[in-house]
Amino acid sequence: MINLLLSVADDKLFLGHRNSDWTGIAPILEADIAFSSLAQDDIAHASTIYELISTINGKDVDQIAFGRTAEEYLCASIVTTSDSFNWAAAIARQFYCNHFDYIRLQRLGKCSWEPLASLAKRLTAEQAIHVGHVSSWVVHLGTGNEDSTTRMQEALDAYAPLGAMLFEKPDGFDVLVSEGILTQPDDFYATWKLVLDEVASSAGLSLNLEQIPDDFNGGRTGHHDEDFSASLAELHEVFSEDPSASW
Amino acid sequence: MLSPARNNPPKKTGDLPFPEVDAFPIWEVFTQKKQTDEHVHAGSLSAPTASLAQQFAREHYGQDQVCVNLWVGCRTDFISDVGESGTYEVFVQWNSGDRHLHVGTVQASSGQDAKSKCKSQILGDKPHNSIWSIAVSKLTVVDGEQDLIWRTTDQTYRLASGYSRVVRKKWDAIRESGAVDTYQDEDLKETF
Amino acid sequence: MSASANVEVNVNDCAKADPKKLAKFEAFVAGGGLIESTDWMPEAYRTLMLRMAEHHANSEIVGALPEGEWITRAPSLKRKLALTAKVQDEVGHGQMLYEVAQDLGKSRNAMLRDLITGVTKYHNCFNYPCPTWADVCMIAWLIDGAAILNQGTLAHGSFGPYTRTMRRINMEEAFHFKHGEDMVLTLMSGTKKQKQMAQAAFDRWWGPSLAFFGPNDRPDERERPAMRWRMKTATNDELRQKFVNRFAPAAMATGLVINVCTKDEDGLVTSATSDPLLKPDKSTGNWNFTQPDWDEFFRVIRGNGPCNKERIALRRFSYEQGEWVRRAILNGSTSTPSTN
Repeated sequence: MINLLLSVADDKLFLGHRNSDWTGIAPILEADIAFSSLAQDDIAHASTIYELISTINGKDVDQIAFGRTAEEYLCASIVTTSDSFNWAAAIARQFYCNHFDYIRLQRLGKCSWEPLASLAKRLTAEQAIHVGHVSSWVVHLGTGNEDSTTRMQEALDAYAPLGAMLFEKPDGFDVLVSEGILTQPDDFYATWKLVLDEVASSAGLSLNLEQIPDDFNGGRTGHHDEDFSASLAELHEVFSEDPSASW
Repeated sequence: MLSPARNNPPKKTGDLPFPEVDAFPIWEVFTQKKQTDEHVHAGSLSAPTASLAQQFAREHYGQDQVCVNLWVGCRTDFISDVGESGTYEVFVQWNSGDRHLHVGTVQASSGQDAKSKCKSQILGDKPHNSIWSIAVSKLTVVDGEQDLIWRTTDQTYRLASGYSRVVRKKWDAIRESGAVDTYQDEDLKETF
Repeated sequence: MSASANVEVNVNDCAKADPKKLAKFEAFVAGGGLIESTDWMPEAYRTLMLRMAEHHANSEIVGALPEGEWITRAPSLKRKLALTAKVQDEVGHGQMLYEVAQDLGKSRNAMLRDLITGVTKYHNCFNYPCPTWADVCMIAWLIDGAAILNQGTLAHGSFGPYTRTMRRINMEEAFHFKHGEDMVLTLMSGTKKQKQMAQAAFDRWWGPSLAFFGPNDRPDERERPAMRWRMKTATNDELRQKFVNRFAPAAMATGLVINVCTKDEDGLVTSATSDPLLKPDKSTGNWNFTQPDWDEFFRVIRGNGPCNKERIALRRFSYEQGEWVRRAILNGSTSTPSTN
């Protein structure tokens, strides 16, 4: 259960972490404000899930969030891949992640462990804002002008393989399903792809998604790349000066 | 260690390599604190489309306090004298310096008619500084019940009220009378 | 914010052009009246008010940059959220102030372009570096604290759109300040290293906080247009004194030492000695204090500060990198209002 919770929370923590870096430097002031709101939501959501973990293992929430080694984080690569300060890349990443999170949270809202189910239901309502927001941007950029259509398509293509990696299962996931705690019909990927395809085609864009192989070993099982290390180093920079101090 | 965007951006000088683009249209945003309150003008924003205006309005003006409903419309539509026959929402600024406040709904044949009906049907003789009106068809409505505005996750991390008690406790712990008393002066409290 | 000779000439022109209208305007404003953007106003008032709003807006979006450097490095979940929200607020303040200025006749893009090409300026304090986490804490406590004092008086000004914006901004500044206070108190009740970090940052920011209120008052400050037309309602020195009266004892109560510092060209402190003047005056109760280094202030504001080029470079980079986005959505196909 902790692995599952960590995979959800770590995805959100690092997505929020990367997106919060846009605050103050986004292309349009109003869009900056809106994007920052979503980044805060993600970090706040992660926080509530770390709190839930804390009720299981008794650890301090900040220690859970900040105090692990690289392999102990279970986020997918997509959330820490640098967007190179390219708005199209940021939106493409959001597109894959926000819709994934939305469906994931909806399904967690049906799990048999009540504390998680009720938390997931609350977060789902907020996640709806995220999918509305990103779908709107995909359509605006896809239908904007030739330049933006090209940029948006390129970004979607670049992030497609990373999007598929979101579906890697954390260790113990299948056990939760077989014990009936999680009811996960097999159509998660298909449902997600369907929604994305709808939005993309209304934006005049195409998606080149391919599922990952069953033996894929990525972020969900603690295997991370350089971009993750860079994000983790940022996250830890002040905290690690004195992990026991109050800040 | 700074992120790639912030780390050593190019130091260009001189004119910009591209000409100025047109400004986006301006939108006015009204927010409703609770169901029993009237909508009050929250501010303006610039956006090219109604859907982006709505998104921006929610995250900028819908987040300073609990908000159950918000309205967004083009500024030109609020101040316009023209327009089609239909239902209009009307707003009044009682005195200069005040925010426009929603006062009711009228049936009118144009913006100008809506403003004059507002006077005759709602304001009467009451002195006022400015009237706005907008056709309901030109107003984007965000209903917080169906389309969340104010979040359910704890927002106190970004409100002064989230810190007052904690700060007081910390001051008590290192209090020195006289020094801290000056600090807790009236004027500063007024701001909160 | 200072009235240039050009604007003073315009004031005389206003009096000559329309003495009756000007007299009526001045009486209205002196009596506490509020001007809306559609009301008649002397050209000089429009020019000054626009400049003031523009300068303020510029300061907010440049101010977002030094603290923005620390968002990803914040050391706890709560601080991470709070700092993101604070910087987001600053962007919001900039947005609202640009709207106020735009209503007075200059487009937002023109203002952003003037900022990034060095034509217009912003608050000098943001030309200083933010080298440690403790600097983030001190900026929130001291600079936002100074801003509240300043903006509290600006909220009683004569221009409606600006004063409404001040009230909204001050609500958020209250959070910034309280959060800053919380962070500083946490450091000062923390480890020895944290206290040292806090003191070092305080040494860097005390001077800029004093200078935040602008140069010393001119003898005719109250007769100049800004105060005569109630755009400002308190002088720089008045506000500076209020600031010292509040923050000097508070800082000392936390264990911080208030030093007079010299800095090198990177904005780092080269010497720090306890301010010998820092005592309350027995008769007035006002704290005496050493003025900020005005030579340094003018040197920095003229472009030779530690971070002037970096701040503008990042603002310009952001603007240039974002151009394709603005162009793309400008001609968006969903141009008619729709109810969702």
